[in-house]
Amino acid sequence: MAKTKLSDDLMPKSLVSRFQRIMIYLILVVGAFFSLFPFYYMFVQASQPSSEVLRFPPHLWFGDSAWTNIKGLFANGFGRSLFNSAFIAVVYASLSVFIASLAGYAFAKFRFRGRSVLFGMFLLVLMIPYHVTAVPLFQLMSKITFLGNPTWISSYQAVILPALANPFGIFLMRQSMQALPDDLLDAARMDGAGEWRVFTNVALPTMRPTLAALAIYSFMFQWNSFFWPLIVMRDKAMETLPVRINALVGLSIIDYGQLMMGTALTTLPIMMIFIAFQRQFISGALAGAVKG
Amino acid sequence: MVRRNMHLSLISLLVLTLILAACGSDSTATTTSGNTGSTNPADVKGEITVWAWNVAAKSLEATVPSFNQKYPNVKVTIQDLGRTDVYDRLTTGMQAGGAGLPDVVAIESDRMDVYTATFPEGLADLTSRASKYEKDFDPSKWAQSKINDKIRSIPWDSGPTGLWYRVDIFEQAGVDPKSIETWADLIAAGEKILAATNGKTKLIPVDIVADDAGFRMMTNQLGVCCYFNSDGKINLTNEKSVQALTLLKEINDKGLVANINGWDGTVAATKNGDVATVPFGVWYSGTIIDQAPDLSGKWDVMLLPAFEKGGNRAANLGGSTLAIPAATKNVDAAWAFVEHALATNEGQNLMMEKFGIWPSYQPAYSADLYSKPVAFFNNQPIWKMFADEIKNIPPATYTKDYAKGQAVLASAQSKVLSQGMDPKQALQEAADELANQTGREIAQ
Repeated sequence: MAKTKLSDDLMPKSLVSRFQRIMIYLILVVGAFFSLFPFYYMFVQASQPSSEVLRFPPHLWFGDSAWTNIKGLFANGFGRSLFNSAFIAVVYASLSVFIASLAGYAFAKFRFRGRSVLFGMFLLVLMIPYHVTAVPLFQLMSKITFLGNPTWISSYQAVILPALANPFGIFLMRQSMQALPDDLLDAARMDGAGEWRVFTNVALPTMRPTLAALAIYSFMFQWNSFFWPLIVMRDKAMETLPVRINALVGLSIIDYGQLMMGTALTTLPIMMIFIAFQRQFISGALAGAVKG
Repeated sequence: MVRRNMHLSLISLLVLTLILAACGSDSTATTTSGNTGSTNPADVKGEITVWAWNVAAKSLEATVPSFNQKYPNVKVTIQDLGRTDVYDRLTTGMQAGGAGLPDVVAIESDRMDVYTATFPEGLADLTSRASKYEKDFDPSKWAQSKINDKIRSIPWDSGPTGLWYRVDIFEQAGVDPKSIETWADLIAAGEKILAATNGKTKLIPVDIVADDAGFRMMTNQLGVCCYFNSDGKINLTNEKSVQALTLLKEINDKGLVANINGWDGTVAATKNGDVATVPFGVWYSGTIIDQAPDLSGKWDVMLLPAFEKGGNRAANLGGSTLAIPAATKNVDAAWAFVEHALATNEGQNLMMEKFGIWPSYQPAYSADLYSKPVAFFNNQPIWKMFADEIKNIPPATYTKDYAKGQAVLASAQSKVLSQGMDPKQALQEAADELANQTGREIAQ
């Protein structure tokens, strides 16, 4: 539907438009090549042995070491890291989206004392570089003995909890919730719905694109996160993917083949998620932008 | 109005708290480390964790079986980490008063000063256990591990430098490697090679904007490495430092420098015949074997050329140490592991043989492998050359501001090589800049 509409609107059928159409497609093909080639090249390099990656002229077709590289990675803890990253990202994305939507709703739809101060403080958190909080936070994690653990260092909650009330997410949800007409909520209240019901049955369903966008954003944030997991996940069994991949970079020897394979395998889920949800992703981000 | 004020004060309170949190808390836990250790190996018990970067971690792993034969009751876990990742974890752990630290950690020799200056008691004092080994270790490395007369780490590997060169390219250009004694000889050879390869093969790779490794090797050769003298004053405007940068400029002006980008660029240039020589530490042997297996037999190595005939040709680049964080609960086991890996022929030569990690422990050089020819390197006994070089390496001073020095010097190098600035002027400016950044005096 969208496709035919685009060509109908932009290009009335005439000779000039045919030329224009060819030009547009040509530009699109060139653009697609430049955006897709790095991905293709990453997979090509991932299938080479380490000593072939930096060869000049470079290989443009797949090599025979893909399986060797994969085996090498998994022999050194890649599988466990894959699980850790996926677990952290999924749990974090679900919880933080839930919290952000609750907080965003409260900031947008309830009037209470100190609302703008609180919201201002959230925005302020956005401006603090993470280097500043890393050490005190690490200290905190080393001293917490809650939930029976002697320490929270090298635990899932140490990565998931500190970033849970994500200021960007709360800001995004507040902006979207503000666009929600108060009358709609009042109507639900008139019909006898409790506040919780108004939130879950009226407010949330209209927010679906924004929620999806935020979920993807939160998932990617944890999936790609490097510094904090590096600092706090000190047990090898608890390391996340980016940390494990970086361990391939030594002082004078780097296994480029494994490094490329690790990067490719790490990028793959993100690419699949993005392709599957790209409509929500774009419309959600735009929704936030326009209504904000 | 009142509300706005409250708003402001709350925010400033928050900011203040954060600043305080960032500045405070520097009291690193100190444990006693005076006792000289248990006498019966079976009495040393416990679990220890060791952090090192990848190949180095594998090499330590290789020493574990023989260690456990001697110390059956110590369980060793080796963790491999990315190079700078080790430091990020170590630093945060020390800032947090020793939380989450390993029992043994790898630290590059030139970073030792950074840790001992920032956390004076963060690394265990090993003096009473280690001083008996002083005569056995590479003296230039030992000096880097000994801070204010206390031994804070044990030298692991050294980086005696050499000029790695392509035998086949030298032959093709009709250059006899044995005739090269001075940098002037090498430049003449480089011009011949450039002509013989129609401009494809240059002499040396230099990462002009980012890395001053060449300058460090040359100044070490001349005894003024690298940016500071032993009194901690900035030492860049002396005649010898100027001489080193001038030499780099001369090589570059003759079109003999391949300007490469980072470590990967150096490796690619090595592999693809863009350069005929690479001046680097002994550890580069491992990189060449790993990355250019098809060039087996075509590489060889000689000492760096001298500045004048008969001048010093020994220098060091890189190398690392093993330290024991003071927060460890098991100094005895940690020390036993370090001692076995670094202060025995068995441990060091296991790492040398399998992983090319060059021992700082000199008695190890008596093993057979150091006199044997190495097939990959033109069938020459190249290890003997490095073993003989060690004792001639002039000492170098690094200080905690070493990284700042590196950055400033790389920028000076780029001004000289890319914009043609006079080396003397560039070094004067670099010295002023470094004085600004560090508050140190400039040596006269």
